[in-house]
Amino acid sequence: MKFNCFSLIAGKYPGFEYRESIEPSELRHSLFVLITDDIESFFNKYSAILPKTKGIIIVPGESFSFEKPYENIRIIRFTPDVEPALLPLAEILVSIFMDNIKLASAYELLKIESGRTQVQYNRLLGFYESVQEKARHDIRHQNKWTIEALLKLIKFRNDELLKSSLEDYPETVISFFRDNYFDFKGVAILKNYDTTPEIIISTGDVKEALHEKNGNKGEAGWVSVFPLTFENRPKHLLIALKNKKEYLKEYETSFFLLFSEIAVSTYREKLNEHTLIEAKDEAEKANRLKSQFMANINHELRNPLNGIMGMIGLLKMSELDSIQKQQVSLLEFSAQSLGRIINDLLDFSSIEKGNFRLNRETFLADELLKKTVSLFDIPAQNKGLKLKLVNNYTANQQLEGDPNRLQQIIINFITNSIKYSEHGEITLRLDVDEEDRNGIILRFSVSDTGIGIPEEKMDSIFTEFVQLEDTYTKSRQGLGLGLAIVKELTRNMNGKIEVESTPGKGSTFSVIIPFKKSLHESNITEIKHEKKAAARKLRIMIAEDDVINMFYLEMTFMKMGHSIDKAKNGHDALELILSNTYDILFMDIGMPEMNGMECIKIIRKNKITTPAVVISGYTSENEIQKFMSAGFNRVLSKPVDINNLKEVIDSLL
Amino acid sequence: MKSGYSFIQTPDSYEAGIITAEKLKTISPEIVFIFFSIHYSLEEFFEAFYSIIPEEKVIIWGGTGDGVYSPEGVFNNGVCAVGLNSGGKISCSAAVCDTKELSSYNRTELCMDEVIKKSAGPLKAGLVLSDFVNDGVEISDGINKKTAAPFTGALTGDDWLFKKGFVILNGKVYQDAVLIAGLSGDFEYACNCASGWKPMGRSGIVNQSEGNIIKYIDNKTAFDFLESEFGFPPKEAELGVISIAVYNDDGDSFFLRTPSKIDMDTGFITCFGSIPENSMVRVCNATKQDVTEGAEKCIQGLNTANFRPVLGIVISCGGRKWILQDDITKEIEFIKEKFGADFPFTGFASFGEFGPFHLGNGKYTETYFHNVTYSVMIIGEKI
Repeated sequence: MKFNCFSLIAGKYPGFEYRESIEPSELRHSLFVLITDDIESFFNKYSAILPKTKGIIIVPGESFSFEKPYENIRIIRFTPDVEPALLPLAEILVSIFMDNIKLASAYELLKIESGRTQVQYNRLLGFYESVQEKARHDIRHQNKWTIEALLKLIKFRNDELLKSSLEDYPETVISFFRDNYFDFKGVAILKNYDTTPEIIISTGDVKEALHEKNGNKGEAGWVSVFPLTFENRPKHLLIALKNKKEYLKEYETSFFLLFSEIAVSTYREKLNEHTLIEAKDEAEKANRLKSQFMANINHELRNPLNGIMGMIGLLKMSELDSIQKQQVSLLEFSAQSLGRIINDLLDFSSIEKGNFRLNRETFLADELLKKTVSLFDIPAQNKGLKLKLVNNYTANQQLEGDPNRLQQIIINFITNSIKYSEHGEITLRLDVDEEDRNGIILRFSVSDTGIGIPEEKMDSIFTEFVQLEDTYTKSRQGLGLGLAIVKELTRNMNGKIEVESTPGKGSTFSVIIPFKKSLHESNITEIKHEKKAAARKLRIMIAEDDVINMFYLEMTFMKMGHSIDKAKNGHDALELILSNTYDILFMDIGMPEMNGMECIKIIRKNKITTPAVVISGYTSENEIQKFMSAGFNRVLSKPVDINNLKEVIDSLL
Repeated sequence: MKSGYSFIQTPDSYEAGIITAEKLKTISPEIVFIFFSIHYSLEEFFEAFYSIIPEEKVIIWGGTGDGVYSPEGVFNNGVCAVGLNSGGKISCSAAVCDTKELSSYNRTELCMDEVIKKSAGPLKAGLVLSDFVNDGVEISDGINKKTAAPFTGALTGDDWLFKKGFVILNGKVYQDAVLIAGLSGDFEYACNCASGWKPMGRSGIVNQSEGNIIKYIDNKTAFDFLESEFGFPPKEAELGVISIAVYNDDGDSFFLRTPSKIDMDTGFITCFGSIPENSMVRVCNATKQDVTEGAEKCIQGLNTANFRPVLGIVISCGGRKWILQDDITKEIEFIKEKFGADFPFTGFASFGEFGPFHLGNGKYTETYFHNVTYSVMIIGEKI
């Protein structure tokens, strides 16, 4: 394509014809190179014709940059020092531009060829029988080339196609032709033809041939195009250039078609495999994000809850009248309920991920039941409900299990009973289903005289987030996770759940769980702990950035009779620890400037062995292990109460 | 007389128009015969073309096909044009009719009346184009009704999609139209057609047909007849290869009808063109060798001994291109062997062909509508 050089600026650009105005047809007829210093006016004047033209506009300006208001027009700024060389510059730019135009034309031709070949391909699929017959004919007539080609194709598919990665797939496909099996000048793949076309050449000079084909000169051979089609769209185009200007021979066509089919089906297999791997990676990533999110939620909720529980604990220790005591108890009950909801959320998340584990401890069933029932005295009383305990197994026999999780199940049942009962009584009952020398199967039941459960809801009450009432009309709180967690806990304990209910009359929830009988004696250190804690005055360092939590810990330890030093961050804590001697350290993890983990690591590096307790809202097993590995001796999960603090001090000192 | 050709494959329609016109303007053509593959914007092409060669100075006659024929080869895409400057010796009158209410026959009649009326003298030869929606048999009947002059032409089409085909007269594009060009004046011509298909088996009489659906031959269903004469049941795949020879009254010459569809329930066969009832028919088959030989026979049958050929119009059925594959270029090699390597001609792969058989000594049969046939017209000046 020839090009014309114009300038709309008088005088000074050799090689550029000065014009006051240019005919639209001159811009349209051939590629133009134009110099102007008022590009906006030029665009306005020729806006109707410019979309149909191809050209380069050179503009005097501060710096070189490329802008493209029209796809087919390039705009280049030039600095004064380039002025003497504008014409040679224009020639270079034109040649690059024309290369692009030629390549774009070649792509267009390939699209046409591909579309046409797709039609041929579709028809040939219908002619497949005839093609096969012709292939058999070739073989029958000892077309050795065909037999060898087919054998190589089979081997190639198994050895290379199946083993290549998806990204390398097009290159692998054309590597087959690197054997130069055919009488071709070149073979290439137009990769990702439908999105970001890129030619990958195997052998020979297909790219040059594509340019030549556009200009139709030279000794270009015959270009045949076969689409590698996925989901009914050509994704890559297999391009073969013969040495001579002739169509492919029939057996070559048949072979290419067969090759295309095999390549496509193998690619599809790889794609499915890749999709599965990607889906798995996505799922794992989502899981990791979810875990991180849950950990953050956990921490963010526990922190203020710790403050609330702490203040409640301090209130309880102060002088209150009977009404105030009742109010504080209710306050404590609400805070504990909130704590349970947070725990439920975390438990649910652990259960979903499948990394929920039970602890193994020894406990006395009778003791556990009494402790549990005592938690609900006041809430039941306030609702006018009578709470009873019927224990048919009072033996002083230690059992092996997870008493906290067992308690969680019973708490859940009692909480629901209180929630759904307006009058009457709630009975917690323990019976023995079976017993022998080594083990026992216990039945824990909670019966109420509440609203009961309709028949149609019986199957779904153990499903997460399902509640008896609709979300907007419900009169009772809760996320609906409790029974779902109970179900999982029971399952983990190798137990089973039973429910009996009559609407309007009440319900009985039972768990039947097997336990091993422990050979150890019961643990009666609780009283001793209380005595120990009160025994001596300790020097305690607290590192906590939260004002309320700090206040609670300070008040609590002072009431215990201990002296306190405070730090607002790890940095201050380190200064205190390095210059003082403490009996025990209490630290938060999330603190500004230096966090608890960084601080304890430095403390231990300095060979300071003072017992250290972390009080944290991060409570997953993973995090607990990290804290212990960093150098802490104990981990207390927020919210902590005074008994937790006493117990940990006694155990460490 | 002067002639020249332009063949271009650039996909840019405007650029193609510029280059085509630039190449042809050197001979100042009076008439341009031009064929396109279906991919071009004809509006853009002619906008560019007429900016070089003014519209009032040239008659443009052409259409679209399943690829184009040119002296440089047979291609699936491109534009091939031949320009003719006869020095005023050839008069060309052209007409087009796309009136929806009219049948193909009536449209042809109208065009022929106009062409004859506008012609400077008696018609010597003619060219006909129509898209494949029209009835080729009606068109050939319409031509033969009005003139004994031989006509060469075809049904225009696209990339074997059978979606659209266009005819072009003086830069305007028509669909579902009949286009006729009549040539009169002081010039010579030769035309011929042949297929290469060879009849086999016994002949039969068409008992019942309806338009282009053949129902019964020799009291059997058309499918059964084909099976009995072909030797085994023709598969759908072979429909492009098997043809039916329909004999003329002389019992010797025939034109071909190619089946497009078999209805396996009824045994009826649909063809690319009608077969009248009571026609004598035979099943035909052809190998690639036969098909190529048909083109060679057609060229050899052109009687150009007494004149200097100036340009050629070549029509070959798309089905032949489909069958011949790599050997399709032989169809133009025969032309170049006979008329020279730089002989200007243009043509396209069609969906049905028109042409007479040359009987020898410059005598022709009437113009027939064919399938899978190779049809050529050569125009020249007396020596």
